[in-house]
Amino acid sequence: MSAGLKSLLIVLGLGLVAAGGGYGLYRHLASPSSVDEPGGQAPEITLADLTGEKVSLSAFRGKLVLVNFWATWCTPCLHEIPMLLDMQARYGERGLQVIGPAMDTPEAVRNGAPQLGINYPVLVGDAEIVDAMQALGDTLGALPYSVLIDPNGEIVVRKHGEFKQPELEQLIERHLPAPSRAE
Amino acid sequence: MGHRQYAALKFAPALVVALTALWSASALAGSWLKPSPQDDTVLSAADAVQVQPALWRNGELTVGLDAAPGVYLYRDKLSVEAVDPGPAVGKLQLPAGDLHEDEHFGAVKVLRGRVIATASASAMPRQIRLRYQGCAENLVCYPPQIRILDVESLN
Repeated sequence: MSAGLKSLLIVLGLGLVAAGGGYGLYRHLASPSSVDEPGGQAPEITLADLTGEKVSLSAFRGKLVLVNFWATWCTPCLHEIPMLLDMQARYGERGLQVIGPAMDTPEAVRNGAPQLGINYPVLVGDAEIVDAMQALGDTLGALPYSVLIDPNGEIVVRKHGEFKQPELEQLIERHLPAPSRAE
Repeated sequence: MGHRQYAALKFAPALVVALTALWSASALAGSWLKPSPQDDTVLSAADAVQVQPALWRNGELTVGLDAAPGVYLYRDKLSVEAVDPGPAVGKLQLPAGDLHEDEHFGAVKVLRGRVIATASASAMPRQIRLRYQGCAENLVCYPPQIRILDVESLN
């Protein structure tokens, strides 16, 4: 093999190794929209509801809590809400509690929420919602962002983007409180 | 011709080919590495839209934004203003954009890929405030973003 060909192969090899390494690092660092199961105790979060009343996450301890951050300007969020309403209706008696903090003005949510027919607590705020998202593990600043917290207050799932219905049903079934505790 | 010069000439074509191949490989790697939400990967707000430096030349201000593949910007949510009172920034000139049929908001004009925004500014503003908002197609939306950019003069 000539020296020129050798040099060419070495340079190409190094280029491919560098490209492969960079791609691997990117895949490692990027956050997939698939379910992330992080563990850890959920921090206390207190946000205002549409009447200005403060609502704390700890008030729902003992239930399976799905915190779904959304906004009236977020199309994927609005698309996901009917499924969340269905989940609340179907699993509410068995201990599921959906909570919907909205990154919006109270007026925007008051105008939008009735049309959506939301049957679970809606909280509202601007910077407070960003802080709450970050406290619950958000690093991307993207909506919808959902966090599933088990009856013991442990974060069991975090997800950016919409849930698919079978995926969410499976998660809820797996983490619902035991029947004796839910009653 | 000396021995060294001969050797340099002998390997020159190989070197050119190697450098060309490396450049192509890096360009290919760049396109792979560029964050893309098309494979259901959610990008951070900063990675979804990368903002280029703001430039001023001969009374025109230019700002570039690079929306990752699959990410779109709402045309009517993009704005630029001078941070400090001083030279006024004229109406923003933007590409025409595409019509995007939004499930909830109807037809909206959106911008994809590299977006070059220009505006007249008789004098160079020291800093500008850039506002924009966008979504990753069928995946997530990002809250309104505000960036303060230093303006560089090209004059």
